[in-house]
Amino acid sequence: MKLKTETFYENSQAALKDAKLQRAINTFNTRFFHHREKSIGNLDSWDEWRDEARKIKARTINRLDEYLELLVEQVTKAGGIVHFSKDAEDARNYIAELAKARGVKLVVKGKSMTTEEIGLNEFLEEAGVEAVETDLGEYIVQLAGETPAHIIAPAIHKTRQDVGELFADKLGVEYSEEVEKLIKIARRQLREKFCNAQMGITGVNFAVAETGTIVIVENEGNVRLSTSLPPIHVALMGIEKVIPTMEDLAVFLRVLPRSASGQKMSSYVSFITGPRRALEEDGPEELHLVILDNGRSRILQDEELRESLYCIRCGACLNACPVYAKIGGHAYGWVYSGPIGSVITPNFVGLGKAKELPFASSLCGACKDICPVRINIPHLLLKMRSKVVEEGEEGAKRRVPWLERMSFTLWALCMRDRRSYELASRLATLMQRPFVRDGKITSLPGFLSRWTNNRDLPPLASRTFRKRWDDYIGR
Amino acid sequence: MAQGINREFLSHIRRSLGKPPASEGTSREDLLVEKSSHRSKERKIEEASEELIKTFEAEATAVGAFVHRVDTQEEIQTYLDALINRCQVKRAVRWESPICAEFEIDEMLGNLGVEMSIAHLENTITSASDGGAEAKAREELRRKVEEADLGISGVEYALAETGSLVLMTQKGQGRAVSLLPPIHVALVKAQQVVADLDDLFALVRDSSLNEGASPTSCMTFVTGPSRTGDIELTLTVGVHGPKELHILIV
Repeated sequence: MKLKTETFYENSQAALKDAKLQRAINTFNTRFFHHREKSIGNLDSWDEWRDEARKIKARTINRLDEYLELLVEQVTKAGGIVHFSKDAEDARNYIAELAKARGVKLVVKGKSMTTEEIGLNEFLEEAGVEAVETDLGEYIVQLAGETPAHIIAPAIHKTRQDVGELFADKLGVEYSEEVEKLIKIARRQLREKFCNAQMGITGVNFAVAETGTIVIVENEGNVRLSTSLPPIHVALMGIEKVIPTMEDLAVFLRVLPRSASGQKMSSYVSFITGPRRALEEDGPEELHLVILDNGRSRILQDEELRESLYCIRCGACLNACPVYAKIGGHAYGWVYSGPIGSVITPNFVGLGKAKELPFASSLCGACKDICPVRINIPHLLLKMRSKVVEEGEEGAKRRVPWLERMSFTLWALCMRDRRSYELASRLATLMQRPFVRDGKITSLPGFLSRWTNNRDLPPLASRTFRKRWDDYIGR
Repeated sequence: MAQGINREFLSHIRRSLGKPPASEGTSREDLLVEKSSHRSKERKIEEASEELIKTFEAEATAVGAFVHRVDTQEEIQTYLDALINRCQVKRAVRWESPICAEFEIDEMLGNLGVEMSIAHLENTITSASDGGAEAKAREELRRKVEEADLGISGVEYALAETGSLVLMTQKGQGRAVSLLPPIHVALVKAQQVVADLDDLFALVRDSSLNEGASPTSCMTFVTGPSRTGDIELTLTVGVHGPKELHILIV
């Protein structure tokens, strides 16, 4: 996926003006929260589950190498082939070379953010392999030549008319804007692909170390088809997807569907342990599990940032975030958007390239409240902010601009004792006069304008509370 | 896989965690013991009571499955008759499963004018060493399942907590039967109903330990029919998987 993180500010401005996008996000949010409320509602155990989920993730991440080792052994024992990829290039090459070696011309893909992260589709296309997205939202987005606008609902920004036109244009079918008809068209088109593909590529929601089981959650059935019909199944997972046992899996199966789409359980959950056994009627002959680092181990190095790896990619924080609600997913410029995206993207693509992302937050904490794994996203955003400021573009120690230094020195002077403070506030009351219009401060000069561009400020009171109090008690 | 690559990759992670290099033969005992031991051993599995079955029914219905309690062969026949007529079912495929034989599914569907096939690879094909014949047989089988209007399977368990069916792949009980045809009928025995995920995973663990067998290549939870909300968030049923799911509890 093409990186557009450096133009985050411009992206957001464009998104704010996009009325269609605004409506789409609004609709999604309303429905999402409605369903979420129904599925969580008065559940006593919801917070308990979240605590437990976090505990399991914390335990696993802290011994990640050991759990991964066990996972590899078990997957191998079940007949699967494991490949470790230190970066995106390695993962792409492995998959493309495998496809070449097996004469694969057509690949069906289940929805996987990780495959977007490594830019797999484009790479395969260049290698002469057709990679068809089979999740309906992703299929639509792929046909349109766009990128997903949301982790859970990729085509959230498209109306049924948009889709109808798209299908008529790209698939040569009769135009229809009836959702049922559109679904039928997609089903027919993709069924043919499922049956003819030589390889299915999916992501992984959870990888159970004890049994070597890959767990994938979905609603449409496209993952089941991609992992059952083609002779080769390639599953791509980030290192952080591993969890210890099936029993641990239970709590995740409870919190993930509710957090992602307000369901108690998704339509289908596939628990895959190795390729098909010798006498089975269907299933892949080969199972390849590609375990990807691509910067995650660097995140591991920071004990605080490590928490961001607990993420189970439910998308709930996106739905809760008032910033995301206005600018949508594309504005973030890369695969991972919303609050968690703002934390991890700079770590993946480089601080310099995505430095605005951690600042695009009011730290309201809605993400933290909704996160099923209790990731303290606001804390991580603050951490990322200080990283961006201190480590800067070249990773060198930042030289503080003289204006900033002066401002803070002045501030320190004013706050040092009561007399200085009172003097300063009286001065400020005088200095603000030219800027007060109709009882409001609507614009300030220079860099101060950032505080008034999108809001008005109330003026400082001419009589301070202290003065009023003194008068009141007759001092 | 070259062991060297694995070692380097894992060592790098270990270093990133700020830990000293792993010593040879580090004990793995405490990796899995925490919590899981409380759950799998000495767990009292809840019985498939009438109440539990009702819970299953309610949950499954809530997610769009059609659930029907049946007591006799006649009742099954009546139900399937109505279904076959409504959906114009001409061809059906089924699992090779004891429950199908028990209720004489072949005969029943034959009487209703449906062409019935068992979705399995003949023993003669798989035991022969002719790879070509096997490939051809597999293709034939795939085509048959693809063209079927109805797929009939049993289940391993029925999960009351979420109204889910638990299907396990094995010879004669393939993945496609419950996936390719637009209608899926699942035959569930009342005693297969389990309360929740914790009971379920405990049972799964016990059975894999007892039989000393490896886990199934694919266990699937089926919760209602296939669905999507990807177009304008309008919930539509029957995207890639079955459009209708019928659960008959005997």
